[in-house]
Amino acid sequence: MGCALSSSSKGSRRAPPGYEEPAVLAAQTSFTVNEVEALYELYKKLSFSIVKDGLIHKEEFLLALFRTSKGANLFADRVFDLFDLKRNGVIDFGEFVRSLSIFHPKAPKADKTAFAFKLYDLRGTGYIEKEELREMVVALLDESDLCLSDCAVEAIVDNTFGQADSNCDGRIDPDEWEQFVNKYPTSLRNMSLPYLQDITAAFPSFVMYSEVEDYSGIDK
Amino acid sequence: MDKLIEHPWFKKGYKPAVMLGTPRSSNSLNDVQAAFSTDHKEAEEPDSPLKPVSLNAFDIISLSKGFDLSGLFEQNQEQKASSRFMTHKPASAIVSKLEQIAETESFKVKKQDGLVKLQGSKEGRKGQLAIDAEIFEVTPSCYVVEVKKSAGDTLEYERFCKKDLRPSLKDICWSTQAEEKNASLPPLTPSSKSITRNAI
Repeated sequence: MGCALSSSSKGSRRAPPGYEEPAVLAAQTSFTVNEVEALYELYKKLSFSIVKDGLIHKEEFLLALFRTSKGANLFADRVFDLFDLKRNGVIDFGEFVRSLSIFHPKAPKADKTAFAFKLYDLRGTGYIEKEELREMVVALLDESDLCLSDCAVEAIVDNTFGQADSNCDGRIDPDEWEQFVNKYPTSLRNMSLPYLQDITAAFPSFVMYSEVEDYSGIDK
Repeated sequence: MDKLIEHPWFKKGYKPAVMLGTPRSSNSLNDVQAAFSTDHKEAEEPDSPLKPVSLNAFDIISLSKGFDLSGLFEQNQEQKASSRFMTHKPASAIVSKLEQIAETESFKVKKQDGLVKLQGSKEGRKGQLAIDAEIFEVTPSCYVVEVKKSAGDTLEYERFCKKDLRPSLKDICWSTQAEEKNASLPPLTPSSKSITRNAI
Protein backbone atom coordinates (compact mmCIF):
# COMPACT_ATOMS: atom_id res chain seq x y z
CA MET A 1 0.00 0.00 0.00
CA GLY A 2 2.92 2.27 0.59
CA CYS A 3 1.19 5.19 2.20
CA ALA A 4 3.01 7.21 4.80
CA LEU A 5 1.77 7.03 8.35
CA SER A 6 0.70 10.29 9.84
CA SER A 7 1.69 9.28 13.33
CA SER A 8 4.29 6.75 14.25
CA SER A 9 7.36 6.51 12.09
CA LYS A 10 7.71 2.92 13.11
CA GLY A 11 6.44 1.95 9.66
CA SER A 12 4.49 -1.02 10.92
CA ARG A 13 3.40 -3.16 8.04
CA ARG A 14 0.01 -3.58 9.75
CA ALA A 15 -1.07 0.04 10.23
CA PRO A 16 -3.08 1.42 7.33
CA PRO A 17 -2.67 4.95 6.00
CA GLY A 18 -4.09 7.69 8.16
CA TYR A 19 -3.84 5.57 11.27
CA GLU A 20 -3.42 7.48 14.49
CA GLU A 21 -2.74 6.12 17.91
CA PRO A 22 -5.78 5.45 20.07
CA ALA A 23 -4.27 7.34 22.98
CA VAL A 24 -3.88 10.46 20.90
CA LEU A 25 -7.37 10.27 19.49
CA ALA A 26 -8.85 9.54 22.90
CA ALA A 27 -7.20 12.64 24.32
CA GLN A 28 -8.70 14.80 21.60
CA THR A 29 -12.19 13.36 21.45
CA SER A 30 -15.11 12.17 23.58
CA PHE A 31 -13.88 8.57 23.38
CA THR A 32 -11.81 6.49 25.73
CA VAL A 33 -8.80 4.58 24.45
CA ASN A 34 -10.80 1.34 24.49
CA GLU A 35 -13.57 2.95 22.53
CA VAL A 36 -11.14 4.21 19.91
CA GLU A 37 -9.72 0.71 19.65
CA ALA A 38 -13.22 -0.65 19.17
CA LEU A 39 -13.86 1.98 16.51
CA TYR A 40 -10.76 0.77 14.78
CA GLU A 41 -12.34 -2.63 14.39
CA LEU A 42 -15.34 -1.01 12.77
CA TYR A 43 -13.13 1.20 10.68
CA LYS A 44 -11.19 -1.76 9.35
CA LYS A 45 -14.41 -3.47 8.32
CA LEU A 46 -15.63 -0.38 6.50
CA SER A 47 -12.35 0.64 4.92
CA PHE A 48 -11.65 -2.75 3.41
CA SER A 49 -15.14 -3.47 2.18
CA ILE A 50 -14.70 -2.44 -1.46
CA VAL A 51 -11.40 -0.65 -2.04
CA LYS A 52 -8.97 -2.62 0.04
CA ASP A 53 -6.74 0.24 1.06
CA GLY A 54 -7.68 0.91 4.64
CA LEU A 55 -9.38 4.19 3.79
CA ILE A 56 -13.11 4.77 3.64
CA HIS A 57 -14.16 5.72 0.15
CA LYS A 58 -17.55 7.18 -0.69
CA GLU A 59 -18.89 3.90 -2.04
CA GLU A 60 -17.83 2.08 1.11
CA PHE A 61 -19.60 4.70 3.19
CA LEU A 62 -22.75 4.33 1.12
CA LEU A 63 -22.51 0.57 1.36
CA ALA A 64 -22.38 0.76 5.13
CA LEU A 65 -25.37 3.09 5.37
CA PHE A 66 -27.58 1.76 2.62
CA ARG A 67 -26.34 -1.78 2.11
CA THR A 68 -25.61 -0.79 -1.47
CA SER A 69 -22.82 1.28 -2.91
CA LYS A 70 -24.90 2.34 -5.87
CA GLY A 71 -27.02 5.43 -6.07
CA ALA A 72 -26.52 8.83 -4.57
CA ASN A 73 -27.86 10.39 -1.45
CA LEU A 74 -27.62 14.07 -0.71
CA PHE A 75 -27.40 13.58 3.01
CA ALA A 76 -24.81 10.84 2.94
CA ASP A 77 -22.77 13.06 0.63
CA ARG A 78 -22.92 15.90 3.14
CA VAL A 79 -21.89 13.69 6.02
CA PHE A 80 -19.07 12.17 4.01
CA ASP A 81 -17.78 15.59 2.99
CA LEU A 82 -17.78 16.82 6.55
CA PHE A 83 -16.00 13.71 7.80
CA ASP A 84 -13.38 14.18 5.09
CA LEU A 85 -11.64 16.97 6.97
CA LYS A 86 -8.60 16.97 4.70
CA ARG A 87 -10.85 17.10 1.65
CA ASN A 88 -8.95 14.38 -0.13
CA GLY A 89 -11.94 12.26 -1.05
CA VAL A 90 -11.44 9.59 1.59
CA ILE A 91 -12.01 9.26 5.30
CA ASP A 92 -8.99 8.08 7.24
CA PHE A 93 -9.07 6.69 10.75
CA GLY A 94 -8.28 9.98 12.45
CA GLU A 95 -11.02 11.81 10.57
CA PHE A 96 -13.40 8.94 11.29
CA VAL A 97 -12.87 9.07 15.02
CA ARG A 98 -12.77 12.85 15.30
CA SER A 99 -15.99 13.26 13.36
CA LEU A 100 -17.81 10.43 15.11
CA SER A 101 -16.82 11.97 18.41
CA ILE A 102 -19.27 14.76 17.75
CA PHE A 103 -22.04 12.16 17.61
CA HIS A 104 -21.20 10.79 21.02
CA PRO A 105 -24.13 11.47 23.34
CA LYS A 106 -21.75 13.19 25.75
CA ALA A 107 -20.15 15.45 23.13
CA PRO A 108 -20.70 19.19 23.63
CA LYS A 109 -23.97 20.46 22.24
CA ALA A 110 -22.12 23.36 20.64
CA ASP A 111 -20.14 20.91 18.50
CA LYS A 112 -23.30 19.13 17.41
CA THR A 113 -25.01 22.41 16.62
CA ALA A 114 -22.06 23.59 14.53
CA PHE A 115 -21.74 20.30 12.69
CA ALA A 116 -25.44 20.20 11.84
CA PHE A 117 -25.26 23.76 10.58
CA LYS A 118 -22.41 22.89 8.23
CA LEU A 119 -24.29 19.79 7.16
CA TYR A 120 -27.29 21.78 6.07
CA ASP A 121 -25.32 24.64 4.56
CA LEU A 122 -25.19 22.74 1.29
CA ARG A 123 -23.26 25.30 -0.68
CA GLY A 124 -21.02 26.31 2.17
CA THR A 125 -22.04 29.95 2.13
CA GLY A 126 -22.06 30.22 5.90
CA TYR A 127 -25.87 30.41 5.91
CA ILE A 128 -28.70 27.98 5.44
CA GLU A 129 -30.73 29.42 2.63
CA LYS A 130 -34.38 28.68 2.03
CA GLU A 131 -33.58 26.94 -1.28
CA GLU A 132 -31.20 24.64 0.55
CA LEU A 133 -33.85 23.72 3.10
CA ARG A 134 -36.35 23.11 0.35
CA GLU A 135 -33.86 21.01 -1.57
CA MET A 136 -33.25 18.85 1.48
CA VAL A 137 -36.94 18.34 2.23
CA VAL A 138 -37.57 17.34 -1.37
CA ALA A 139 -34.58 15.01 -1.27
CA LEU A 140 -35.94 13.33 1.84
CA LEU A 141 -39.33 12.82 0.27
CA ASP A 142 -37.68 11.34 -2.81
CA GLU A 143 -35.52 9.09 -0.71
CA SER A 144 -38.50 7.87 1.26
CA ASP A 145 -40.49 7.49 -1.89
CA LEU A 146 -43.18 9.75 -0.49
CA CYS A 147 -45.35 12.15 -2.40
CA LEU A 148 -46.18 15.59 -1.18
CA SER A 149 -47.53 18.44 -3.23
CA ASP A 150 -45.33 21.41 -4.05
CA CYS A 151 -47.45 23.68 -1.93
CA ALA A 152 -47.28 21.31 1.01
CA VAL A 153 -43.50 21.32 0.76
CA GLU A 154 -43.56 25.10 0.53
CA ALA A 155 -45.76 25.32 3.63
CA ILE A 156 -43.38 23.13 5.62
CA VAL A 157 -40.33 25.07 4.51
CA ASP A 158 -41.97 28.45 5.09
CA ASN A 159 -43.17 27.41 8.50
CA THR A 160 -39.80 26.22 9.69
CA PHE A 161 -37.96 29.10 8.09
CA GLY A 162 -40.31 31.51 9.76
CA GLN A 163 -39.44 29.95 13.09
CA ALA A 164 -35.71 30.03 12.48
CA ASP A 165 -35.00 33.14 10.44
CA SER A 166 -35.65 35.68 13.15
CA ASN A 167 -34.17 38.67 11.35
CA CYS A 168 -36.12 37.76 8.20
CA ASP A 169 -33.23 38.10 5.82
CA GLY A 170 -34.12 34.94 3.95
CA ARG A 171 -31.38 32.84 5.44
CA ILE A 172 -30.49 31.20 8.72
CA ASP A 173 -27.21 32.29 10.24
CA PRO A 174 -25.31 30.34 12.92
CA ASP A 175 -26.78 32.41 15.77
CA GLU A 176 -30.33 31.95 14.55
CA TRP A 177 -29.60 28.25 14.15
CA GLU A 178 -28.39 28.03 17.71
CA GLN A 179 -31.52 29.73 19.00
CA PHE A 180 -33.71 27.50 16.86
CA VAL A 181 -32.02 24.36 18.10
CA ASN A 182 -32.39 25.48 21.71
CA LYS A 183 -36.09 25.94 21.15
CA TYR A 184 -36.54 22.74 19.13
CA PRO A 185 -33.97 20.23 20.33
CA THR A 186 -35.41 17.53 18.08
CA SER A 187 -33.69 19.25 15.19
CA LEU A 188 -30.45 17.71 16.41
CA ARG A 189 -31.83 14.23 16.82
CA ASN A 190 -29.52 12.78 14.21
CA MET A 191 -26.46 14.28 15.89
CA SER A 192 -26.30 11.74 18.71
CA LEU A 193 -25.71 8.05 18.38
CA PRO A 194 -26.51 6.07 21.52
CA TYR A 195 -24.62 3.17 19.90
CA LEU A 196 -21.40 5.00 20.59
CA GLN A 197 -21.81 4.42 24.29
CA ASP A 198 -21.86 0.66 23.78
CA ILE A 199 -19.18 0.47 21.15
CA THR A 200 -16.71 -1.60 23.14
CA ALA A 201 -19.31 -4.33 23.57
CA ALA A 202 -20.25 -4.29 19.91
CA PHE A 203 -16.70 -4.34 18.58
CA PRO A 204 -14.38 -6.16 20.89
CA SER A 205 -10.85 -5.35 19.86
CA PHE A 206 -8.94 -8.58 20.02
CA VAL A 207 -6.36 -7.57 17.48
CA MET A 208 -5.63 -4.23 19.06
CA TYR A 209 -3.94 -5.70 22.10
CA SER A 210 -1.03 -6.92 20.06
CA GLU A 211 -0.93 -3.62 18.16
CA VAL A 212 -0.73 -1.68 21.39
CA GLU A 213 2.23 -3.73 22.52
CA ASP A 214 3.99 -3.08 19.26
CA TYR A 215 3.56 0.60 19.72
CA SER A 216 4.51 0.86 23.34
CA GLY A 217 7.53 3.00 23.82
CA ILE A 218 7.13 4.68 20.49
CA ASP A 219 6.03 8.20 21.09
CA LYS A 220 4.34 10.56 18.70
CA MET B 1 -27.01 18.97 27.27
CA ASP B 2 -28.73 16.52 29.58
CA LYS B 3 -32.07 17.76 28.37
CA LEU B 4 -30.98 16.90 24.88
CA ILE B 5 -30.09 13.35 25.76
CA GLU B 6 -33.26 12.80 27.70
CA HIS B 7 -35.34 14.11 24.88
CA PRO B 8 -37.47 11.38 23.34
CA TRP B 9 -36.34 12.07 19.84
CA PHE B 10 -32.91 10.69 20.51
CA LYS B 11 -34.33 7.49 21.79
CA LYS B 12 -36.78 7.14 18.98
CA GLY B 13 -35.65 4.89 16.24
CA TYR B 14 -32.47 4.01 18.07
CA LYS B 15 -33.77 0.93 19.74
CA PRO B 16 -30.74 -1.34 19.85
CA ALA B 17 -32.84 -4.47 20.20
CA VAL B 18 -31.51 -5.95 16.99
CA MET B 19 -27.84 -5.31 17.58
CA LEU B 20 -27.31 -5.52 21.31
CA GLY B 21 -30.33 -7.47 22.36
CA THR B 22 -31.17 -5.18 25.25
CA PRO B 23 -34.64 -3.78 24.77
CA ARG B 24 -35.07 -0.38 26.25
CA SER B 25 -37.95 0.37 28.56
CA SER B 26 -40.20 2.82 26.88
CA ASN B 27 -42.10 4.06 29.89
CA SER B 28 -40.14 7.20 30.47
CA LEU B 29 -39.88 7.65 26.73
CA ASN B 30 -43.64 7.80 26.37
CA ASP B 31 -44.00 10.15 29.29
CA VAL B 32 -41.60 12.54 27.71
CA GLN B 33 -43.29 12.06 24.35
CA ALA B 34 -46.54 13.11 25.94
CA ALA B 35 -44.98 16.24 27.30
CA PHE B 36 -43.30 16.99 24.01
CA SER B 37 -46.32 16.46 21.84
CA THR B 38 -48.46 18.89 23.80
CA ASP B 39 -45.84 21.58 23.30
CA HIS B 40 -45.53 21.19 19.60
CA LYS B 41 -48.91 20.00 18.50
CA GLU B 42 -50.21 22.06 15.65
CA ALA B 43 -53.18 20.10 14.36
CA GLU B 44 -56.65 20.29 15.78
CA GLU B 45 -57.64 16.77 16.68
CA PRO B 46 -60.53 17.17 19.10
CA ASP B 47 -61.66 13.58 18.74
CA SER B 48 -58.35 11.87 18.76
CA PRO B 49 -56.90 10.65 22.01
CA LEU B 50 -53.54 10.50 20.32
CA LYS B 51 -51.34 13.51 19.90
CA PRO B 52 -48.82 12.80 17.21
CA VAL B 53 -45.51 14.52 17.30
CA SER B 54 -45.14 17.52 15.06
CA LEU B 55 -42.25 17.69 12.65
CA ASN B 56 -40.51 20.78 11.41
CA ALA B 57 -38.51 20.74 8.18
CA PHE B 58 -35.27 19.85 9.94
CA ASP B 59 -37.00 16.98 11.75
CA ILE B 60 -38.16 15.70 8.40
CA ILE B 61 -34.69 15.93 6.93
CA SER B 62 -33.20 14.13 9.91
CA LEU B 63 -35.31 11.09 9.03
CA SER B 64 -32.96 10.40 6.15
CA LYS B 65 -31.01 7.17 6.18
CA GLY B 66 -28.06 9.15 4.91
CA PHE B 67 -27.97 10.95 8.24
CA ASP B 68 -28.57 7.85 10.27
CA LEU B 69 -25.06 6.79 11.14
CA SER B 70 -26.33 3.99 13.31
CA GLY B 71 -26.27 2.11 10.00
CA LEU B 72 -22.49 2.01 10.34
CA PHE B 73 -22.80 0.00 13.53
CA GLU B 74 -25.39 -2.51 12.57
CA GLN B 75 -23.32 -5.60 12.17
CA ASN B 76 -25.54 -8.03 10.42
CA GLN B 77 -27.69 -7.74 7.36
CA GLU B 78 -30.75 -7.38 9.54
CA GLN B 79 -31.25 -3.71 8.95
CA LYS B 80 -33.79 -2.20 11.22
CA ALA B 81 -36.70 -3.02 9.01
CA SER B 82 -38.87 0.02 8.53
CA SER B 83 -41.12 1.68 6.06
CA ARG B 84 -42.88 4.98 5.80
CA PHE B 85 -46.35 5.84 4.68
CA MET B 86 -47.96 9.14 4.15
CA THR B 87 -51.59 9.95 4.65
CA HIS B 88 -53.86 12.91 4.91
CA LYS B 89 -56.34 11.11 7.10
CA PRO B 90 -56.27 12.15 10.74
CA ALA B 91 -54.15 10.26 13.22
CA SER B 92 -57.23 8.61 14.72
CA ALA B 93 -57.98 6.95 11.38
CA ILE B 94 -54.45 5.63 11.19
CA VAL B 95 -54.69 4.22 14.68
CA SER B 96 -58.02 2.53 13.95
CA LYS B 97 -56.55 1.01 10.84
CA LEU B 98 -53.60 -0.34 12.78
CA GLU B 99 -55.93 -1.73 15.42
CA GLN B 100 -57.94 -3.44 12.70
CA ILE B 101 -54.81 -5.02 11.29
CA ALA B 102 -53.78 -6.11 14.76
CA GLU B 103 -57.11 -7.76 15.37
CA THR B 104 -56.98 -9.86 12.22
CA GLU B 105 -53.58 -11.20 13.18
CA SER B 106 -54.29 -11.48 16.92
CA PHE B 107 -51.71 -8.88 17.78
CA LYS B 108 -51.80 -6.99 21.05
CA VAL B 109 -52.01 -3.25 20.74
CA LYS B 110 -50.62 -0.61 23.02
CA LYS B 111 -50.93 3.03 22.20
CA GLN B 112 -49.51 6.13 23.69
CA ASP B 113 -49.65 9.46 21.97
CA GLY B 114 -48.10 9.17 18.56
CA LEU B 115 -46.84 5.65 19.07
CA VAL B 116 -48.74 2.44 18.45
CA LYS B 117 -47.07 -0.77 19.52
CA LEU B 118 -48.16 -4.07 18.09
CA GLN B 119 -47.07 -7.38 19.50
CA GLY B 120 -47.68 -10.76 17.94
CA SER B 121 -48.95 -13.60 20.08
CA LYS B 122 -47.19 -16.36 18.17
CA GLU B 123 -43.62 -17.31 18.97
CA GLY B 124 -41.75 -16.70 15.76
CA ARG B 125 -38.23 -17.69 14.76
CA LYS B 126 -36.77 -15.01 16.95
CA GLY B 127 -39.50 -14.64 19.53
CA GLN B 128 -42.63 -12.64 19.21
CA LEU B 129 -42.82 -10.13 16.44
CA ALA B 130 -43.19 -6.61 17.76
CA ILE B 131 -43.82 -3.60 15.62
CA ASP B 132 -43.84 0.09 16.39
CA ALA B 133 -45.88 2.47 14.32
CA GLU B 134 -45.10 6.09 14.95
CA ILE B 135 -47.28 8.83 13.65
CA PHE B 136 -45.77 12.20 12.87
CA GLU B 137 -47.53 15.31 11.82
CA VAL B 138 -45.93 17.00 8.85
CA THR B 139 -48.68 19.52 8.24
CA PRO B 140 -52.17 19.68 9.78
CA SER B 141 -53.46 17.63 6.87
CA CYS B 142 -50.54 15.35 6.31
CA TYR B 143 -49.07 12.65 8.48
CA VAL B 144 -46.20 10.27 8.12
CA VAL B 145 -46.43 6.85 9.67
CA GLU B 146 -43.15 5.13 10.31
CA VAL B 147 -43.51 1.42 10.83
CA LYS B 148 -40.56 -0.35 12.38
CA LYS B 149 -39.82 -3.79 13.60
CA SER B 150 -38.85 -3.58 17.25
CA ALA B 151 -38.42 -7.29 17.98
CA GLY B 152 -38.59 -10.61 16.24
CA ASP B 153 -37.54 -11.98 12.90
CA THR B 154 -37.11 -9.60 9.98
CA LEU B 155 -38.54 -12.02 7.43
CA GLU B 156 -41.67 -12.41 9.51
CA TYR B 157 -41.88 -8.65 9.78
CA GLU B 158 -41.57 -8.28 6.03
CA ARG B 159 -44.20 -10.91 5.47
CA PHE B 160 -46.52 -9.07 7.85
CA CYS B 161 -45.95 -5.82 5.99
CA LYS B 162 -46.58 -7.35 2.61
CA LYS B 163 -49.57 -9.46 3.58
CA ASP B 164 -51.30 -7.34 6.17
CA LEU B 165 -49.93 -3.90 6.68
CA ARG B 166 -49.52 -2.53 3.19
CA PRO B 167 -52.82 -3.77 1.75
CA SER B 168 -54.73 -2.41 4.73
CA LEU B 169 -53.01 0.93 4.82
CA LYS B 170 -53.48 1.34 1.08
CA ASP B 171 -56.95 2.79 1.44
CA ILE B 172 -55.87 5.51 3.77
CA CYS B 173 -52.39 6.24 2.57
CA TRP B 174 -51.19 8.01 -0.47
CA SER B 175 -49.50 5.66 -2.79
CA THR B 176 -45.80 5.94 -2.81
CA GLN B 177 -44.17 6.75 -6.09
CA ALA B 178 -43.41 3.09 -6.68
CA GLU B 179 -46.90 1.94 -5.87
CA GLU B 180 -48.34 4.46 -8.26
CA LYS B 181 -46.34 2.84 -11.03
CA ASN B 182 -47.38 -0.64 -10.03
CA ALA B 183 -51.04 0.27 -9.95
CA SER B 184 -50.61 1.39 -13.57
CA LEU B 185 -51.77 4.86 -12.77
CA PRO B 186 -50.02 7.59 -14.67
CA PRO B 187 -46.56 7.79 -13.14
CA LEU B 188 -45.61 10.89 -11.22
CA THR B 189 -42.94 12.87 -12.93
CA PRO B 190 -40.32 14.43 -10.68
CA SER B 191 -41.32 17.93 -11.68
CA SER B 192 -45.02 17.61 -11.12
CA LYS B 193 -45.60 16.15 -7.74
CA SER B 194 -48.82 18.04 -7.15
CA ILE B 195 -51.61 15.95 -5.87
CA THR B 196 -54.90 17.74 -6.15
CA ARG B 197 -56.50 16.13 -3.16
CA ASN B 198 -54.03 17.72 -0.83
CA ALA B 199 -55.26 21.02 0.43
CA ILE B 200 -53.45 23.04 3.03
